[in-house]
Amino acid sequence: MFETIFWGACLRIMQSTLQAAPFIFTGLCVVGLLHRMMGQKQTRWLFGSNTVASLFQSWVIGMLLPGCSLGVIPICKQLRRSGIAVGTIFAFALSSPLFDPLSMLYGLTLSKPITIVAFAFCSLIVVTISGTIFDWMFPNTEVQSEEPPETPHGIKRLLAVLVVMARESVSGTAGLILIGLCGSGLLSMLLPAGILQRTMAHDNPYSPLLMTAIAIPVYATPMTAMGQLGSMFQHGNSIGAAFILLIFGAGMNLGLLAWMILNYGWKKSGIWMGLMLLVVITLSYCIERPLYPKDIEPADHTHAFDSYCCPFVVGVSPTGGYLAEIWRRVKLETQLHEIAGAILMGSLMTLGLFLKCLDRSWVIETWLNRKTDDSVALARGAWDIVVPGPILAVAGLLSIVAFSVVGCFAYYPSPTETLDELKLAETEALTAAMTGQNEHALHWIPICEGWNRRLQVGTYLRYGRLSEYHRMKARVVSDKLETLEHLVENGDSLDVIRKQVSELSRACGRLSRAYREEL
Amino acid sequence: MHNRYFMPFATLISVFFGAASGCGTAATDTSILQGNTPQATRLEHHQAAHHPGTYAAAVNQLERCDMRLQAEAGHAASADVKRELKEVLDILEWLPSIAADSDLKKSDWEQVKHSATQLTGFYQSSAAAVNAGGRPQNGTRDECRRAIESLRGLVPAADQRL
Repeated sequence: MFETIFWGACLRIMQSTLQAAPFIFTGLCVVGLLHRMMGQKQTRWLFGSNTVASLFQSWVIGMLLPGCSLGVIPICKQLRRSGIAVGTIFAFALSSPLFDPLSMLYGLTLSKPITIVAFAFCSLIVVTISGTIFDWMFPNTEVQSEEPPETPHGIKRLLAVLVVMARESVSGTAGLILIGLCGSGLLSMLLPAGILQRTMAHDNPYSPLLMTAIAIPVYATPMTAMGQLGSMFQHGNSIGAAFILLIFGAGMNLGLLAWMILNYGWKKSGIWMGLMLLVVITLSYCIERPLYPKDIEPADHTHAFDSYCCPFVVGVSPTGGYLAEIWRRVKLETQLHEIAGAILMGSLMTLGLFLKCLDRSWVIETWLNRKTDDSVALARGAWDIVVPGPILAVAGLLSIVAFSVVGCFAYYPSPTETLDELKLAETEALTAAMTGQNEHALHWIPICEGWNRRLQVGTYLRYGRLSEYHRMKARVVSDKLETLEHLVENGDSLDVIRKQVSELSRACGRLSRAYREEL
Repeated sequence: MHNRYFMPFATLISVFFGAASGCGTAATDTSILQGNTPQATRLEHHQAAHHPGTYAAAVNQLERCDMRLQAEAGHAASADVKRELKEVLDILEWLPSIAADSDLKKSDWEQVKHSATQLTGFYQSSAAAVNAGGRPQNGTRDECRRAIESLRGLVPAADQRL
């Protein structure tokens, strides 16, 4: 049993690490830009401090910048160094991980996009109410710290950004991020496989409270949280619990909590958390009925939270051992952007460690901050102007936002391309199901579901609309995929499975025709 | 690691190992990957007994219900009428999804959706009258008949294998 729980936690931590890598890298980019280009004064101007307007400003910036609850930790540290009030920092920390362009698009193509818009609005209410009360209770929380010496413009200024990123990646931030990642492992140790499948029902008044207990240690990227929200809507689960999953699951983690406690003490952190819990839970009960979809037949179970439970069943060892199984799953599930993020983070951390070693004999910042020769400046042409750091920083931040928008087109390909991918996944899933290879089928069915969702988002992104007919075609395939998944999980006879496979195959054919010929 | 990070880290590590050693004993063996889920934990989506399997079956069922309701029109509402009305409203709610699971093209599907909305309006007002103690309505019967006929007309297109 110990082995199952231990390796289960290892797998969950590894999955979370890979998912978080691109977001942490983005967070470090933002820190580099704010620290070396923007400067403390301009950062305070951008985010504001200690006013209601600053809460709104931070919420808007948080919504625009792609991030996750681990990626915001270094940004929060930088905001604190820039002398910004706690309420404003927390408003940013909470809103940044909730949505990004990828997840927002995903949410807007769910059956009730108004729910996602309402959730975004509710998150603004949460940060405004909690932030205002907190800033009123503790008005002087701005920390005064020394502005770092200005780096001369040119390549040195760019190198300085990289150095800040590298140093931050191996600073205390890494420890806090590790604590946040451990939350996923801790949950998987506490929750046996599939134990949450029959929870979070709409008619259970305790669903939002149970979700609160689970969601705080959870680490979820905005996309993961949005996918789980979609699954909750599809299964007719509690809307209040879905809202809490978004706010605390995506917006909070143990590392962020640890950072708050370390920097602001138990009292302030406790009051902030208390305020947040009060506002979020109250809102979750208020929206439960008005936002509940009427056209959904509630299922008595959900798979949305399987990824928070132990991935292995106690007493059932995977064929080939735990290590081989972990490697197999990581290899199969890891996406290209996660691999890229992990490589970039690995390189940054190596550079950070190298700089730490180098510090004993030579501190790179001394060279970076040394003023350049004035005669070189005089020799510059009329068009070779020096762009002020803050302008470069804003351009950098806007580039990150633009890059995430462009990333949407890559992540949600054109319908034709998506249908080809779906066909490949479908062939794998259906062949495996028909031949009794349950593990293989259970791996490929969620991939089919993923492509089916991406098909809708990709269509919406390119055509600016998604007709009810196309939405319904995709829903039919999604329902049939889930039924097949249950049949395989339940170990039903091959005859029953083959009948379902045949129905699913026809539905996929119709889906393909609808998206290829009738858009 | 800086000293101030030691406490939260140590707390987390202790909870971690505490959880690993003491928790999870009450694990329910769902055996999700082994295909031997106990009957009590079977995962499935339950469908109502009157949920039609195909578009053609849905139209047939709708016609039968409508005929029975037509026969009851003008009489005092019985429990059977109330059940019939609920059934017919359920079928109309499922109809767009059932039609999407057929070979109907977009324009045909939109026609189904339109007819289903029209019929839902009719039966809802009928159900409201019955629930208020009145009798099933017969006022817009021609429109209702035409909507059902249009649904019937799409049956051949719904299954290209026929």
